[in-house]
Parts: sequence; C-alpha cells; structure tokens
Amino acid sequence: MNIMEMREALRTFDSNSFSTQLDELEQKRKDAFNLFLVVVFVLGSIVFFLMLSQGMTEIVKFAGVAAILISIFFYRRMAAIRQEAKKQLMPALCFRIGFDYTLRPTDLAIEPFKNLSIIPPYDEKTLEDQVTGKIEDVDFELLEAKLLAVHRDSKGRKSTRTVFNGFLVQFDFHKNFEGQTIIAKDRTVIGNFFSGWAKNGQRVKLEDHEFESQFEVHSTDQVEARYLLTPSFMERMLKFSRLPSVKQLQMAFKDGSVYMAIKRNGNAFEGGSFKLNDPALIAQNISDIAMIFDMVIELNLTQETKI
Amino acid sequence: MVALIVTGVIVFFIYMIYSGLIKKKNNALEALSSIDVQLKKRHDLIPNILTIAKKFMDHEEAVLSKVTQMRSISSSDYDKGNPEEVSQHLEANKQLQSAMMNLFAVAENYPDLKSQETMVRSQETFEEVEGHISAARRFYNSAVTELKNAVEIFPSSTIANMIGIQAMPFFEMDEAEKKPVDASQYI
Repeated sequence: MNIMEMREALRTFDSNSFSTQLDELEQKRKDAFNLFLVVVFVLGSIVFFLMLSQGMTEIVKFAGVAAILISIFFYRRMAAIRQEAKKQLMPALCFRIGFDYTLRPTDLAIEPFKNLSIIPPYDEKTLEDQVTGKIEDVDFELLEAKLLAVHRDSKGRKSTRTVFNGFLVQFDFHKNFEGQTIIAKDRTVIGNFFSGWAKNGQRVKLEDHEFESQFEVHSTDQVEARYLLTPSFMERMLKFSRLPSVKQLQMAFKDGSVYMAIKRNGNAFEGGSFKLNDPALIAQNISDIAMIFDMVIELNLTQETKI
Repeated sequence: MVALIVTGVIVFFIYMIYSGLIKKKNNALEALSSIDVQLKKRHDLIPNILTIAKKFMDHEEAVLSKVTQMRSISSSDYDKGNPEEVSQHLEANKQLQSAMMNLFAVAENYPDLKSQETMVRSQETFEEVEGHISAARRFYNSAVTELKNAVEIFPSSTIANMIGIQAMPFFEMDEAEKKPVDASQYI
C-alpha cells in the first residue's frame, strides 16, 4: 500500500461500525460529567459552609484538600472513558492501513533517543500511543512522549516543568552507514560549546548557512555525515522544521535508522475535545495519523536513489 | 618584568597561530585522504563495469579505452604536500568521472546491457560510491576553505609564509555535473 492508498483507506474508514460503542461511551461520559458536576457542587458547598461556620481551621483545610482529591477522582473517570474510546478506535484505524498500535509502549522505547541525546534530560516520563508499521518499504516506529524535569525547593516542595512534549520517531534509512551523526538545535556559541561535550564525535561544519544557523551537527565520521546530509536533504529538513505543527526538530542517524525528536504543541491521538460519537473525533485521529505521511513525504524517506 | 610579560604574550600568540595553521593543514590532508579512500572504491569498481560493458559495447572502443586511460592516470602516485600535484590528481579524477558518465550515457543505447542484472547492480554501487565521493569532496573543500582563509588573512598569512604552508586547491564539480538534470533526455 502506498501513501496515496493509505490516505484513501483512512478517508473511507467505516465509522458506522463503531457508532454503537461510541454512542454508549458518550452516554457514559455525559453521565460521568454530570456526576462530576454534582460532586463538585456538593463538596464545594460543604467546604464553603464549614468555612463560614468555623473559619479557616485545620479541619476545614483538610476538608478542602479531601474535596479536591475526590473531585479529581471523578474527573479522571471521564478521562478513562475518553481513553476507552481511543483504545477502540486507534487500533482499528491503524489496522486499516497495516499499522500496529499500542496504547502504553514499554520504557525501552525511549532509550535510543536518550542515548543519542536528542531529547533533553528528564526526571519523569509519560509514553503513549505507539504506532509501528511500514510505509512503502520503510519501517517506522512512532510514539508520543511527555518528559518532565522535577525541581525541589529548599523546603522539599516539588515543582515540574515540561522539557519535551511531542513525537519520537524512528525510520529505516535508505542509505548504508556505520557511524553516528547527531543533528541538534543550534544553541548559539556558548550553548553549543557546553552541549557539544555530551555529543559523540566531531562537529561537522556544513555549507548551507541557513541550516548551520538552525542546527548543530556532530558526527563520528565527517564524510559519512555529509553523505547523509546532502544539500537537498538539508533543504528538506529545513522545510520540515518550518511546518506549523513542528515546534522543534532534532535528529540522529545510527545503525541504519534515522531518529527524530519532534516537539509539538498539544496531545496527539486524543481526538480533541469532541464528543465521543462526533465524526470529527475520528477525523481528528485520522489527521494525527496522517502526520506520519507528512514526515515521510517532506523528508523524502522512501527515495530509492542513493545520492 | 613588563617586557617579559609582553614577550610571553607575543610568543604565546604566535604559537597559537602556528598551531592553528598546522591543525588546518592536517585537517585538509586528512580530508584529501578521505577523498582518496572513496576514489579507490571507484577505481576498484571500474574493471567489473568494463568487463560487462565490453561484452555488449564492442563498437564503442573509444569510450571504453578513455575510461581505461583515465583510470590509469588518476591512480598514479602524487605528493599530497604539493598543491600543483594535488590539483592534477583531482583533475584526473574529474576526467575519470566524466568518462564513466559518458560510458553510462552510451550504455543507454544497449538495452541488453542495461537489463543485465550485474550491470544494474554495478551501476547502483557506482552511484553509491559517487555519493561518498561527493561527501568527501564537501569535507575536503570545507577544510581547504579554512586553510585558505588562514593562509591568506593577516597575521596568520605571515606565519604561513614563513613556515611554507600553502593553500590547497579546491575539488570543484564539473560544469556538466552542476547543470540541472534534463529529464527529457532519459524519457
């Protein structure tokens, strides 16, 4: 199946076969939402009256915290129902075009990206939505990652900061190579100097000034790095990095594969905030899957020519 | 004391320029060696291609002998420290590439040859080797640009002149190679 046929297969996906399940899940979601509102109203009222009658005592504080925790519990029930819809839809959509889908990938999936230093250091991670398959003879693996850096202040209070949110993708690459080439975001002279220590290999100075201003390349083989990063591939990378859906792009070539860490806004494969039985939810999921095709087309990863 | 410090700073400054020049020269020589490694792959591949081509292109003696002649010239020894000899070596390899391109262009007229599996595989490998040569040439030209700047810009130009470091020639692309491909020729 080529990309055109895959797009067509997704476009003609028969959503009616899911309508009964999605209607049921939407009803459950609505019920859960109503229950959530009732819980918030009742608990909020109790805490409010306690505050009025007793002031801000320890018991009222405890009741406030308990009310928040109970509300979160009921809110998460809605999220679980939304995830149930995803668990039914995504495998079916992926199966239609010969892809496999895993909701919770193993922790090992992130290791190559970590070892290649194309994702920032992190303390906590959430991995989900692993899609694997083949696009015109090119094997790929994509997963969504959210990485957090945890900071604790002098009083031990914990705060988190998102350091990466987006896709981690691995494609088989059509050229033969043995070394390791890393293409990281350019971080100005001082930033590059410090981040360069962590990179394996020498800095590669390329002739494309725009590419040089956007990226910093390190490789264990100067010739191989240029063999992989031809002038046309550099142009394609720049073009891809300018897509509105791409906030930042870092790449690496190793063991016959190209690894990409693509920072994005928002959460993919969630179907937005649509009702679960709204056809727009399926359309949104299809559009998210089609991003994989954009990567293959923009970077011309299926090309046969070796130059 | 002041004079000693000033002298020390000047000596250090000169040493930094000197070591920078040597590094750039060695880098250019390393890049030149990497070109030779890739050119060697091309040289090793040519006899196989010629053996297959000779079976079908017996009327194209001139094309085949040009490749043989250029292969012989381009593989002769040269002094890497002598820019004139480096230039001749690179020029000879450009000529060899042109001769090979001409051979493949003429081979288009021989459908039996074109459809030979060994020829198809050889041509694919040749393309891959050309890709590596192109990459090595970019690495070399980048190293040569750095060396050339250091050799031509003051104050490093003075020190380069004193210790006899010369700029090396660029490995330019052929004009034919620079031109955009006219797909209609191959349809």
